[in-house]
Formats: sequence, structure tokens, C-alpha cells
Amino acid sequence: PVQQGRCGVGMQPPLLVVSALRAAVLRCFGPRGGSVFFTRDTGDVLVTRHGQKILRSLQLEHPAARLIVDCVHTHCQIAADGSKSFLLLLSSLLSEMVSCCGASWDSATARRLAQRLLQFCWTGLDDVIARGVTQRASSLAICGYHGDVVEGLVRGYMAGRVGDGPAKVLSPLVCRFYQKWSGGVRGAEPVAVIHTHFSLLHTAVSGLPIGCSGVAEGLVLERDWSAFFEHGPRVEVLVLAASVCPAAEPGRGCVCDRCVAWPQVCVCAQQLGACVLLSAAKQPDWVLQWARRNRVCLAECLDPERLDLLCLLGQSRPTPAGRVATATSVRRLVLGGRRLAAVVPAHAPRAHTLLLCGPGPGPLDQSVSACRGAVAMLHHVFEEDQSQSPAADCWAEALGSGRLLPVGGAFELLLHDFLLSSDWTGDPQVSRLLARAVLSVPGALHSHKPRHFLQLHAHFLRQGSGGPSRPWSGGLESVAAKRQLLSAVLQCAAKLLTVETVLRVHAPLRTSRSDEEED
Amino acid sequence: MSRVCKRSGPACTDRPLSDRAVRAKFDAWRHVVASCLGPRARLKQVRNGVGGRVSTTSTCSVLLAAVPPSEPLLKLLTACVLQHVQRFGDAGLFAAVLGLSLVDQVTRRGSDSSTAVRVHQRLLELCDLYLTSADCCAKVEVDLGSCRSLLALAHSGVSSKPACGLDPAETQQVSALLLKAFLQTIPCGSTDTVRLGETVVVGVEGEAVENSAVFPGLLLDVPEMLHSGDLERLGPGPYKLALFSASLSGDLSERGNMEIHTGTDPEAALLEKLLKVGEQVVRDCATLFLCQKVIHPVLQQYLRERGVVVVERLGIAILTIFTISGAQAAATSHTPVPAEAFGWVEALSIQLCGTRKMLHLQPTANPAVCTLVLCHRNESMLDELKVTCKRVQHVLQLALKDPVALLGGGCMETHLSAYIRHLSRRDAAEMASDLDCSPQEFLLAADGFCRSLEAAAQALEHDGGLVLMDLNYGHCWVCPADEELDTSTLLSCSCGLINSSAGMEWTTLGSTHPDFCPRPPPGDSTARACVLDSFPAKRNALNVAVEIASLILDVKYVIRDLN
Repeated sequence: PVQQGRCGVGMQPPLLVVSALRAAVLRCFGPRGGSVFFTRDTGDVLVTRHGQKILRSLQLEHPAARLIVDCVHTHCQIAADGSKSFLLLLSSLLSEMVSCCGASWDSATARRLAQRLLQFCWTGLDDVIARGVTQRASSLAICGYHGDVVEGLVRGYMAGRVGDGPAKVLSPLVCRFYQKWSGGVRGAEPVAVIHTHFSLLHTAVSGLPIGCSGVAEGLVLERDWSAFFEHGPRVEVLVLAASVCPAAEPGRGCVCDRCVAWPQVCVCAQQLGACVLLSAAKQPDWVLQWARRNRVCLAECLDPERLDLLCLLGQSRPTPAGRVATATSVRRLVLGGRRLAAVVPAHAPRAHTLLLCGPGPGPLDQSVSACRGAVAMLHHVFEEDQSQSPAADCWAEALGSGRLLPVGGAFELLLHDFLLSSDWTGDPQVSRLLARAVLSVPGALHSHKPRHFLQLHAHFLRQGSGGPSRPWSGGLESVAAKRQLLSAVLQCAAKLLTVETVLRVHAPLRTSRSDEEED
Repeated sequence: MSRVCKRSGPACTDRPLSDRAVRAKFDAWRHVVASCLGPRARLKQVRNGVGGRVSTTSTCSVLLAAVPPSEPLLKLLTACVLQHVQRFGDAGLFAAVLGLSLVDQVTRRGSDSSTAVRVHQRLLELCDLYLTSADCCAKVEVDLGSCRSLLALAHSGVSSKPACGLDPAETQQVSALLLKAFLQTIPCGSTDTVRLGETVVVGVEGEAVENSAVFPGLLLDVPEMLHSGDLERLGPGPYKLALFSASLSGDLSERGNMEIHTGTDPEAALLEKLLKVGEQVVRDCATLFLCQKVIHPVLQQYLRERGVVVVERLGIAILTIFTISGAQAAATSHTPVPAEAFGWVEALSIQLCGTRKMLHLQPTANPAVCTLVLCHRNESMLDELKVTCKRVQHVLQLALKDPVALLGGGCMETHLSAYIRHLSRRDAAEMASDLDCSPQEFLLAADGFCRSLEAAAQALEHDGGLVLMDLNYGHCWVCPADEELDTSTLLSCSCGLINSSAGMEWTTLGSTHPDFCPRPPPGDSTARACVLDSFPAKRNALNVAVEIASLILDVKYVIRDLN
């Protein structure tokens, strides 16, 4: 009985916690999964399939749970994807361990096992993936994938983040958005720009079906023009940071510092021929009248950050009145009854804005966050890819070399087979544990049709003898992200195993990073 | 910091749609919404237990905004429907009924929701394709050269809201007025970009509906000091008009920083300045002096003595005055009004609208602005009538952009349902393999989709009548409750497009029937359709409904934060 009690302290609580978390996210795992709906009594709603968001909203109290959530958070910050697979893998890894060790479990075993997991993670994992997945994938020509690689990546990502209908609309949309920005040239810079400024590069419009979404040229300013006139192909845009004040006598200056003197604006507008005024602040009525009389476009109360981005992209020059940028066109977009101002900066003809439509605020947020996640994922894949082969500029090469794999369990099945094969001479116990654990991911993906899973598995085994490859149409995922996921899971499992006792204190702990973040 | 509240954990519900209490709420809400549909709708009285206004309505935008459901998933649905109505003005109830029916069909059968969602999406694509194709038989062209179909659109819009309390003659009159008002907002002369004008709606309570009328230009409330004799003294038009958007009240508090020399009375100085403005306006021979805000009484008196008509506190109406007069509002009283800032009006008169005396400004050119005076017997009905008129104006504007209308009265729904049913039976195997499900699953989900469309048509009938569908054209027919079911008494379908003829067969809506592909209506009849719905609004509603239903069916877990 003593030993059983000890076992309860060491292993059972984390396993129970992980199983509970797994049950929560399993409902929205894979393309067949559903979504989770959060509500507050204040009326806020959130519809999501994002594993990390679900974990955060659960507001977990249990120390083991919080440890896991922190690990997931850290992983997601790096790879931007895979939070649900993380929990699935961790849960099956822990339960495999328990069933494997059985009654002989104590804290010493746990420590030893943790040590071996970490050892495997640092020394064996890269080797396993290089030999077991990358090489075999390329030699087996597993990718019967035909089509654009970026689209494949995005489609693979979207399938796990939004429903089937929205995914069909959003995947090509995000690809088009990326292609507009990149202009057909492959490289990490455009996607880095989109990723950094995503919040400014999309506009959400509710009340329309998701199919009305699109990509608009230039930067959309989220507000309508107060005064709008058609102008020629090249116009100067004057960006004002504050409202103007009517300093009657030139040279006397303004009463307050935070104003722009009107004469300066007039002089500036005349000298440069600026016929578009963009202002972060509300301007007095007479400025609007002046604009109407002089056929000057005016937009007020704009988001200062958007204006900063416009100035950055348009390579603006400072003047006494404000910054001046050149634009190739100023337009008024009409979207389902809402009118928005749009400016195309001359120095950034590739600048585009993502227009996302949705029937209401809940589904709209889901689309926005899925698109943001897809861009983050692309950014991560591009960076990884560049660091691995800086000279390569052909995606087909990445596919052929096995750095990208089709979604749906190809990675896990390859890894499983390799770990159990005679080619691999690593730690047998850890290999066996991991081999069994990784099968949980394809198992969950095909849980609605277990026969599919068996067929798929058999197909993989057969392929060694050169069978015809199954056509993959679902999408692609990056092996580097999967490697990152496995190492994060192994480290998290080791962390859970090495903790022996939880001490509850009442004084606040200020040393941990996660605590600060939660504050 | 003395009290620390421990945060309580969230309440989780797994598979909310299988919960009986949630299902009951969905059913109740579906009943509420469905019973508001159509010209024979059951009215809803919305009242607050602690008092306040009571409104009687069957309009989606009023009802859903006033009655928030307690179930969070229903709140989501309501929010989406309201957003749709805001954009398109019509077919909100249709979207709600269809969305709720789709959810109901799937949960009642207990089938796999993810398969159902895929099938719904696929069928929605087919619907969209069919509705936008040229050979779609559920839509009719709106002939902009004649009033007939526009009037039918307006009439369907007005008659579908029984809470307006109009008899058939009044319905006809109001629809005609609405069309007249709408036609006046279309600017003459062709320019590249046509901007529609606006209709200002003025409601007058306690008058008979037949006193409603449309006036070109703008009606303002008559200022107290103005008498009809003053206007007669003005002589013939056109009249010059000065417009101010700045306050002319002479209050110090409304001004920002200013320097005051000692020994001067700031208020007197300000008044002097205001009078100078008045002097200039009189010198420039302006007959009308309008201000968005308040005018100082001394200035008003000064102007009135010189025969100028003064109107203050215009508020939002100032925007309409810009358009009708071409004036530019002076935003400051410091500089004299420039010559080009003055506007013109053709004529001034006083109109008596029931108990309300209004000053009528007639524009000189054709600025596409008119005022619709709506009279009704009581406040509640007048409110509903105003909302209805706004809706109809919106629908007519949409029809101008895209001159197509859908068959109303449930015929579009039954026709579409018959078409989709036929298509899904024909291509079941192919589509099922496309969607990665078995043909049986596909047919089951497709049946649910078609039944939901039929439920939207069935919801139009509330008096216990029998709703039928013919097996030739797939139109909707209603057999009144008090009559024996005798198909020979049926004359025409609900939308009026199809007349009963020998050899036609009917089936009760919702029952199983032999497979048939709905035929296009006989060639000569397209002009007969008398119940029409807005095409863009209904198409968007269809999309929104399926999307929301997918979203709701997709929810597998509800987490409610209790903090």
C-alpha cells in the first residue's frame, strides 16, 4: 500500500490533469473537430479552435496544469502551431509510461526516465528525424503533392483552426495576400513584414458572409473620408499628428504645444501640392470646409499606428506641418454599406490589406485569429527554411528534400516505423515509448473512421516496396515545426516527472517569468 | 486590497446541443421568430416589467434588438442576424428561421454534425450557383422602365408587417408613396457616379394614414415666431440662404482660450460681433438665416425686424440643407460669410401635416431630396410603419443596383428546396465521395437542408392552413384551414406566378414525394408575380443562415466564465 500511495503522488495527478486537458482540446482536433465557445456574463463571446486560447480561458489552478500551459505557451511562441498535438502527445506519452512501468513506479524511476527523455531529446531526436523522416520521405517520394507549397502549408494549418467552409475561403485568401506582398519573389522579408504588422494590415467587416472577404490594394484606413475628391495618379499626402489651430498672426505660434499651426499646413500644402490630408486627431469644422472648398481629401480620427505604417512604407519626409508621403492613388472602398478610405503608397506598390468578412463578431474574430496564426506559421517555416538552406530559392526543393510533409499523420507514421525498426539503435525503452505515443496523433485525426487509419498505416509499410503513393490534397506541414513540437513535449514530460513535491506558499512569487506575464 | 476574491473556475458544457435545456431554448426561440414571419404573422408585444415603452412588432430588427436571448449560442445567432439586417434591411427573420431549422434538423436526427456542416456548405454553393445563374426560375427581372415590379417589391415589404395596422387600401397607398419618394431620390442627368439622394421621414401621430404625403425638398418644424403672413411678404422666390454650423448663442463657455482686455464686457463684445454677422447677411440680401445650433435672441430679433426668416437648432437636418440649397455652412462667426457660401431655395411655404405645422423648403435644382410625411393613428403603429418604410427604401435601393427580385410568399424556398433535392438525389454518390462521407449520410443531411428551407416557407402560414407544393414548378400553395382540402379550389400559388391548371399535382409540404426537377414557369407569366422579395438581401440571408448554423453545430464545448 505504501508504494501505491507514492505512485499516486508522483505520476497519477499529472496524468489525470493532462488527460482532462486532452479531453477538452480533443473536441476540436483536426479537420473533423468542432470549436469551443466561450462566454462571459458581460456578453463577450469567443469561438475558437485554437488550443492555446482554450487552455488560457480555462483558468487552471492546478500546479501541474499551469506548468503544462506554460510549456504550451512557450512552444506556440516559437512554432505558432501545434498546441493541441502537444497535449495529445504528452498525454499518450505519460500514459504509456505508466502502463509500461506499472507497479514498479517510484520517484527514482521517474527521475531516471526523465533524464533519459532529455538525453534522447538532445542527442537522438535530430538524428531520428534526419534519418527516419527526412531521408525516407524524400527517397520514398512520399509527397504526391502537386500545387503551390505556400497554399499547402496554409491549407494544412487552416484545417485545424476553422471549419471546413471558412477554410475553403481563407486559405486561398491568405495565399493571395502573401503573393501580393511578395510579388512572386520567395523570401522571408515580406512574410516578416506581414507578421509584424498584421493587426494594421487587416480590416474586419461584419454582417457579410465570409465569402465576401478579399484583398485590397494599399492600406485601408478603417474610416471614411470626411471629404473626398478624385485625384490624378500621383498625389502628395500630408499626415498631421494633431489638430490644427488657427494662429492668426504668422510667427506668433500656437497657444498649446500639441497643435499644428494652420499657416504652416497651408504653406506646406501649397508648396508640395499636397491634396490629401490624413489626421490622427479630429479637426475643427472649418478645416473640413476649407478642404471641401479646395478639393482636398481629408480623413480624420485615424489610428496613429496605421499612419506610422503608411509613413514607413511610403518613405515619408518630415516637414514643419507633418510628414509627407507620395501615394499612387487614394480611393474609397465600399464594403457592404461601410465606406473606408484606402491609400496606396508610391514606394510600396506591393502593400495590400486583407479584408475579412463574417456574419457577426464571434465568427469574425475566429477568422482574424486564424489568418494571423497562418501568417505566424508561415513566418516560422520561412525562417527555419532559410536557416537550413540559405541558397535555396525553390520550394520544390524543400518538398523533394523532405522538409515538408503532407498533413494527416505522415510524419508520425514515418517516425513510428523508424523508431521500431532495426536501423535505429538508440535507447530502446524511450524509443518504444515515443513510437507508441506518436501514433496517438494520426489515431485522433482518423478517429471518425478507424479503418482509414489502418489503411493508411498499411500503405506506409507497403510503400517501402514502391507502391503507388496516395494522392494528398489536404495540405502540408513543416518537419522543423514537428521536431520543435516533439522536443517541447519531451522537455515538458521531463519537467513533470522531476517535480516531486508541490509546496503551497502564500507570499507572492516574483521570480518566475510566467507569473509576471499573467499579471 | 483588503478583500481578495478567489476566482471561481469556469462552467463547462460538453456537446451543448445534446443538452435538453439548451434544445428547449432553441425550440422556443425558433417558435418566437417563425411566428413573426409573413403578412399573417403573430405580433409580439415587447414590454419591460418596470415600465417604459411598450412596442408591438413583428419586425426582426426591433424584436431581436429588444429581446436578448439568455442562451449564449442564441445570442451569437441574434447578433449575426442583426448585423445582416443592418447591411441589407430585409430577410432577417428568414435568416433566423432557416439557421435555427438547420440546427434543429441536425440535432433531431443526431447525425454527425461535422458531416452535416460539410454537406450544408456544399449545398449552399449549389444554391448560390443556381440563384446567380441565368436560367434560375426562382427570380424575376425587375423592369426599371416600369413601376410594376418595383411597386410589387414595395407592396410585399409593407404588407409583410401586419403590426403597421394597415388595411389593403392603405397598404397600396403607402407602397405607392414609398415608390414615389424613392423615385424622387434618384438624381436626374447621367453622371459617372450616381449618388442616391435621401428621403427624410417625418411621422405625425393621430392622423389618418391617407393624409400621408411626399414633398420634394425638406420640411422643418416652423419656428414659433414665424407666421404665414411673414412668408407672403417675402415676394416671389428664389431666396438666398445663409447657413451656420457654429453656435451663434454668444455664450462664453463655448469658446476656447481668448484674451480679454480689462475694462471691456466680453459678452457685449461678443454680441456686437454677432450683430455684425447679421448686418452683413442682411446687406447681402439673404432671406433665410439657418443655424445648426442656438442663435442669440437679440440677433434673432434684429434679423426678424429686417424681414429675414430665422430657423435655429437644425441639428442633423443641416446635412440635408447642404444638399438642397448648395450652401456651405459657416463654421465661425468671426469672418464674414463669403459670397459663394450662400445657398438658394426656390420657394418657402407652410404645410399643414395634421397637427404639425411645417416650413417647406423647395429646392431650386433637382437635388434628389424629398420628405415623406407618414401619418398613423397611434404611436406604436407609426413606429412600426417608420421602420418598415426604411426597410422598403433599402430594398428598393438594392434593387436599383441589381435589378433582380426573388419570388416571395414561400415560392422561392419551396422551389429551391425541390431543385436541391432533385440535384442531391441525382448526384448523391459523386458528391458524397467528394465530401468523404457515405451516400446515406449525404442524403440524410441534404434532406435536412431541404426540410429547413421548406420550414421557412411553412412558417409563413399561421392560421392552420395546409401548405402544399406542386410537383411541376415546385411553387408554394396555401389551402385555407376552414376549407376542405380540394385542389380544384386552388387558383394560384403564393407568389402569383403560376395559375392552377389541369393535370397539376400537389403534395403537402414536408411529406415525401416522387423526385422531380422543377420546370421553368410558362413563358407568358413572368409579369404576373405579385409577391417579390429582395434578391441581394435574401441571398445574403441564406449565406449568413448556413454559416451561423455551421458555427453553432461546430461548437462542441461551451466554457462559461463565472467571474
